[in-house]
Amino acid sequence: MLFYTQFFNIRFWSFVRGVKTSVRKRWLETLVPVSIMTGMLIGGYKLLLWGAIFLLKQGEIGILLLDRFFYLGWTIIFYLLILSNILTALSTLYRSPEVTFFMTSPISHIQLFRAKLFENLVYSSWAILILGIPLSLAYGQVKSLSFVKIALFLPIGLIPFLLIAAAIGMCILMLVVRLSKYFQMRSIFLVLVVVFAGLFYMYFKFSQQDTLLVGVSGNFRTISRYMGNLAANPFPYIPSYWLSEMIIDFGQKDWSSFIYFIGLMITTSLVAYEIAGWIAAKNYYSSFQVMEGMNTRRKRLSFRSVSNNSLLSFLPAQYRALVVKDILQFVRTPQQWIQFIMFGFFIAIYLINLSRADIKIARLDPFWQTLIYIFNFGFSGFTLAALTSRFVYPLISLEGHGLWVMLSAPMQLSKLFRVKFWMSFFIFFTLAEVVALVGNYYLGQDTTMTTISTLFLLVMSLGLVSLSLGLGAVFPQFDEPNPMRITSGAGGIITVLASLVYVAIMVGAMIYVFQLWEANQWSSLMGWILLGISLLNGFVIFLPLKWGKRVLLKTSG
Amino acid sequence: MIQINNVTKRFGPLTAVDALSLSINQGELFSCLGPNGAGKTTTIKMLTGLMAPDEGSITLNGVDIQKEPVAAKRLVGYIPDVPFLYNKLTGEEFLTVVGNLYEMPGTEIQKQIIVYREQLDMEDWFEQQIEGYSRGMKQRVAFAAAMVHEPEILIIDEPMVGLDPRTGRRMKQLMRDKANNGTTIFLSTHNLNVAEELSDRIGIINRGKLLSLGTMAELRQDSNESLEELFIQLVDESAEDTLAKKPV
Repeated sequence: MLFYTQFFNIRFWSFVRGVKTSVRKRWLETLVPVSIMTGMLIGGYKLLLWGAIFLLKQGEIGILLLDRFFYLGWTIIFYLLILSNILTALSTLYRSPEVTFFMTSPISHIQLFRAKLFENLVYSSWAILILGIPLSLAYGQVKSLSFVKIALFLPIGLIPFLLIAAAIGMCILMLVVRLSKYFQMRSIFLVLVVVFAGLFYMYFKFSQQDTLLVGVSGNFRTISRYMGNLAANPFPYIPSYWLSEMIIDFGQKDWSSFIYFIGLMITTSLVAYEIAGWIAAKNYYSSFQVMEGMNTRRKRLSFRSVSNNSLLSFLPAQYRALVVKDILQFVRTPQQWIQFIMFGFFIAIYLINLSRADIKIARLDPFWQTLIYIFNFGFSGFTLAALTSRFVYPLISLEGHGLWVMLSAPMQLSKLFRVKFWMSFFIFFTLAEVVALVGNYYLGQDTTMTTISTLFLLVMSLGLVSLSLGLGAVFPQFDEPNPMRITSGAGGIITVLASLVYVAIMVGAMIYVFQLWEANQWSSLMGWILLGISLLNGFVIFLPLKWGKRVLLKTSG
Repeated sequence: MIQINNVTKRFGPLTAVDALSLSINQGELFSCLGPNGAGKTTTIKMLTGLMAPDEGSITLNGVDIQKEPVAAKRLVGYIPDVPFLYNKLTGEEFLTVVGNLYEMPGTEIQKQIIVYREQLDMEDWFEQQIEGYSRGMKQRVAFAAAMVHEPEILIIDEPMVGLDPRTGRRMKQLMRDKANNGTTIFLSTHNLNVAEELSDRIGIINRGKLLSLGTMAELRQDSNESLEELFIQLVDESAEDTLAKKPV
């Protein structure tokens, strides 16, 4: 018990003192992320409320759709929570100097695991709840549940919900690390991703979630039948279903069902906690010992083998050295490539969904056409923003204190930026373009639309990479080796928000340009829009990089 | 007493520690010398329970570190080359945390804090948060943390990093005093002067094998070579042996 008290005391006081120092010395840096978080919660709530009210206005189908979306939202959150817990646990359970410190102290590893489980739960859940809380509040609002009522009962369901996801995620990771004694960790994760993708596909296939997109075909009678069928057969064995049922029952004052689901949630979470403890008792210490030796025993991709690759041979020596260094750093940081694979997995799910939906743009009303254009282009844009904020933003910070090597080398700092910029641009533009082109293909969009969206994506890729790279240099965190924590810092949040606003403006502009193009309404307004877009992109592409370089030179000098 | 029995640790094709057997008596200050990659850190990680040996066993005062890790760790104080400290705690708070982890009574912790605050010359900044400390100050706190529970065994990895000459001297004296009072010390270092000055016995390892073991006089035998010359000679010979054994 004393250990738990100590453990959480340290966290509490470290947090309080950290906040005090921030408020006293860096109040602006503290105020900005707090305001952004608040803005995201309120904005998310308003947007979801608007969506919910829109659906309710569609009559019976809208009500069913609303319930389905609510359930689907929590299901996605549940899967994201498991993934997030796996990734976060790599740091909290294994690759942390604090764990090494405790492992050399006379602390039972089961106690340490249990304490770390709650820490992991907090680290991996708070960001995802920015989606979950507005979702529940908006849903509660249209179901006549006040904020107070939601605030009173949501934690009762939410805490066990988060605990189940944390226990599952951490158990998966312990088993993966244990197995990595016999197989390459990369191969195990790849198998895991394939299994996860398979389960996800089966889930969509059997619960017919993917055919939800049929809704855009406008055949409401089909949807009605489909929804009726769907409402009778939801997938009842996952906690997201219990949580959404709890909220629905609470709204409908169906107390017996409410108590049943809340009981189910709490008992399952207690069982999950116990099972995780049991697995940890057998595996945590030994898997920690396996992980300790991991850096030494792997036969790695060598600098020479990457550098001699013919694909890079055209690069001058300095550029090649920087590119190879970044590739090796990426490949050797599990948090990086695992999350990259996860992104790929979600993109694949989206494209599979599109391929199965059998939507032909030409057959639809103009309203639905526009909606799909927005959605597909927006999806590519927001994917690009998420990828650049997550992977490009930490690039400068990850140079760590080794940056002095670059600064003292006979080359200009701009070369470092240039390499990171073009490498990131090439990778992420290609990815976004693949998503957009495959999406366009399945939607049967015409050449004009495809060309316009390609051009917009090209410009957006330049802008988003510059924004993330530049702001990453403005807010560097050289002491933090974990890229996920770098991204979730104040600068990271500012970058995400700036990227999202930029994408939203570009998506809006593209829709407007396209509408004017379709209607042959070329006017002076169109000229102004294009001028505005050019100016915006001029700023976004050049300014952050220039700013970043200046700040970096100033801070390191 | 530290007993290392035929311990082997492999990382894929690399044998980091190769059938190492060693016995360090109570109250003995043992220095482990070796070039980079010799297997010193792997040995320390196995001694502290951070890694499991593939073969062999390690006992600390008769307690097997693999079979009873918690009981074994209770006997040990460990100072890593890069110590972990909580930046937002003060030096005093950190020592209290460590004392509690070792389940020491509160009064005993306070007593020890006063002792080490004075011995390690930490009075002026002990109530400041650790994030403001210099490297040397952090090293001193790590020393105090490893000794606060009066361990029977001390395992120290590169003790002199970041210390000014005055504090370095003080640390050396402290280690020697501890050994004289019955604490068993396993010291891993590159600093040959420290090893020569402090150690009761010295072991030189390379490529996971113990090349030489004995007191300074035993190592020198009849020659007048310095420890530095002996060290280089032994390591070079071992490298040549390995090359000769490699199939052509």
